[in-house]
Amino acid sequence: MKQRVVITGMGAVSCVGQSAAELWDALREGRPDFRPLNRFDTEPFRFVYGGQAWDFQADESPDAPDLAAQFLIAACREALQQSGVAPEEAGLAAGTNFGPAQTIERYLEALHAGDLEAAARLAPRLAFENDVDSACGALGLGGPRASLSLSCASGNAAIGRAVDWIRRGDAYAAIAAGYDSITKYTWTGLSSLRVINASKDEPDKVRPFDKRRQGTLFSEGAAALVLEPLERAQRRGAEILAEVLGYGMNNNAFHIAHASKEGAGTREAMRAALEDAGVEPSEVDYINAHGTGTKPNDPIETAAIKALLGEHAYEIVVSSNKSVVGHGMGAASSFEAISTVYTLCEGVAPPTINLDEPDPDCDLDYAANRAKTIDARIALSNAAGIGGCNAAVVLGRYEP
Amino acid sequence: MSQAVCITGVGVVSSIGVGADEFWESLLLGASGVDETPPEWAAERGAPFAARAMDFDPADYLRSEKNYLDRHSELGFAALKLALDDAGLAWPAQEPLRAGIALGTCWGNMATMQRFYDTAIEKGPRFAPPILFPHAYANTTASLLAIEYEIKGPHANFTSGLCAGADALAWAVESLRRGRADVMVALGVDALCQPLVQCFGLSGEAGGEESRPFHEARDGFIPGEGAAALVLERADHARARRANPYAALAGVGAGVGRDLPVRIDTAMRRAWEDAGASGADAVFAAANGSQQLDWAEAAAINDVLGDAVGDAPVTALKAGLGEMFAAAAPMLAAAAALSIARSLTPPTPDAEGEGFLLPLPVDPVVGALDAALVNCIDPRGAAMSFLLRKPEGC
Repeated sequence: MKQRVVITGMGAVSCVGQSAAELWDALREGRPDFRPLNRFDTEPFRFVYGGQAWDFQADESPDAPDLAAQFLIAACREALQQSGVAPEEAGLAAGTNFGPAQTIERYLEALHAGDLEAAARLAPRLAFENDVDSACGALGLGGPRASLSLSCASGNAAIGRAVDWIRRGDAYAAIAAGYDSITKYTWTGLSSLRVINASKDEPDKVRPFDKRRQGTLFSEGAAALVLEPLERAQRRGAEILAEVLGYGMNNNAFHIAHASKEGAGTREAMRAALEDAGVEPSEVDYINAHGTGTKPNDPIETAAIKALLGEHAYEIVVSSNKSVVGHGMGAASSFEAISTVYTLCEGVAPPTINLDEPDPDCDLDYAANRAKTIDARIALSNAAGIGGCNAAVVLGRYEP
Repeated sequence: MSQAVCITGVGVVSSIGVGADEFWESLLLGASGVDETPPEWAAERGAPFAARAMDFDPADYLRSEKNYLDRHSELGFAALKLALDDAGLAWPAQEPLRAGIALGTCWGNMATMQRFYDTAIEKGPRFAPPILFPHAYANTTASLLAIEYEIKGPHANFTSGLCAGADALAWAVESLRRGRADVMVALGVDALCQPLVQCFGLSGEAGGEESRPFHEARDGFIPGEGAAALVLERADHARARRANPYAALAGVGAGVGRDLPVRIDTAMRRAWEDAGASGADAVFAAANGSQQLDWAEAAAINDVLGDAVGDAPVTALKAGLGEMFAAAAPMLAAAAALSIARSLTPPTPDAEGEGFLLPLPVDPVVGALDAALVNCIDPRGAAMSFLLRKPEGC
């Protein structure tokens, strides 16, 4: 008998809200907040618009954890508090593209400048594991810990790792989190990828599934979900938000930076997640899409959904949070998991905004520009990233 | 009932040998790969000693020329090919969706990251070479390996510090037990490069000439590097193709608790509980010459083995291999698998004399091994342990 895994807490730091509830409000109401970045001088960069965690009060003191770890800690703290789980019983699986990016870039800058004193201060904190350690230390977590890096599928990958821990009995509870930060290094790299919205007229808009889409906008932050066994949550009298039914992770095994046209990897990741969940494709009521707003992603993802769901794909809503919260990299699929939990709880599919002129290759119901009331029991949430990584999770409305 | 997980292939690229046989011979001899670091790396407070895997030609392990690879990826390609060849598996697999890969790396493709960012510092961000960025991700190596061998099944990349390779092993085992794949390759990879060797010197983590695992005079780890890949198969799959397994990977334990000794302790106990065993005949220790890590592991081993300490050899192979970060757990698991298959436990290099926290074997220990524990510890707090057994049920 499979151990049922439920979600009892959520937390988020994002460009559109400093909590899971604020994030959801912005997503449901279709309220983006992309602006020119102000963390560093953007003058030498080709792209300047993004979603910084505008209202986050970062600790700038020299001994403070890396900025990305600070996002992680804040999201985990909120999630843990909501759940009521004792910290010493909770593990942490955290997914990220770039880990302590600001610390690493400052270290490389110090080496480049020959400033050994500065380099020595940063040297003990360069590993991705340092972020996990910062969070475990700050919150007093005593369970198992893991750091995962599967590019922009990292958030869902962390959920997968935590699900296995709970099913195996490795942990009484586990926080699954995704996080990343926008820094000079990450912005330099992301700007070189040719995926950022290159529109001169509307540089602050992401238009997933729209014919005129010209790329994505990156954002930052963290999002965390507390997972625990159903029986334990019931015994504690915890409020159960939703159930994690299964997950699937794979690689396109196609190309380091491109996906195949038919989206076979995305399709198979969804299929694996449904198999893990024991759910048929026809039972899926809603899909929270990866939906980046890049030229290649949106029709490929649409094709993959249609290949897996057949005609049923036309009967459900598929929406993209990235039009509002942007592409949060390691945090992206964690933002989207939170959104999906709210969708299951409230029966509302958040809108895909800026979808004014449908692309003929994107012909599903994307809840264009307006949230939709839906009756969703089972939802899929997709993620994909550079290197060809895919990760999908299946979430269910909680039914005792 | 979940299936036994069999280790049917081993691929090692290490400072003491390339390939399972060369690695094994060196282990039995107590060979050490530790040497002085190149002067340009040691300058400006870089670590003075390192164990580097110099004796391999990346071209031998690539199906086509790839001049853009980070050394980290080169190590991964080599270990994976060695492991697949050793397992006698034909690749690409007949059912690519039933084959998966789990990789662990602590430092990722740091040298490429530096190349990319140094250009941005010098010339401005618009001039940073776009080709390098996709090769600087922590998951680049895992992705490239999946592409090269068309491995389309379960795919994960862990960055859990020194336990990243252990996480990869654990997740691979879980994927097989749950029937998500028939074959999983679990790898750990880490490559030394100038900014890292300098990092370990600057941080004070790197040890001097006298530093040895479990020794009272230890003052830090010797940076090491390498890659180790294990081919893991479900027993039915291994049997159907008449594979010859080295060992079974029978138990996985994740440490919990507030302090490091407790976490190591629980990891070891959980590993043998998971395997349905009640002890171990040998321990492949994680000790690397660091003050805290070695002390915590010695305390946990004493507690867990109790009276058996002294009877069951505890061997600290990082004395010769250095701290290989994410590569360590799969490398030590490879050593344990070979030990079970060959009924010999390799000695700890440079373990003669007094002053060790635990008795360590100075010569190979002859005798059948029914159950060997492999420890993996990150000084920041993660601890994992694995129990390997004779391949009965494989």
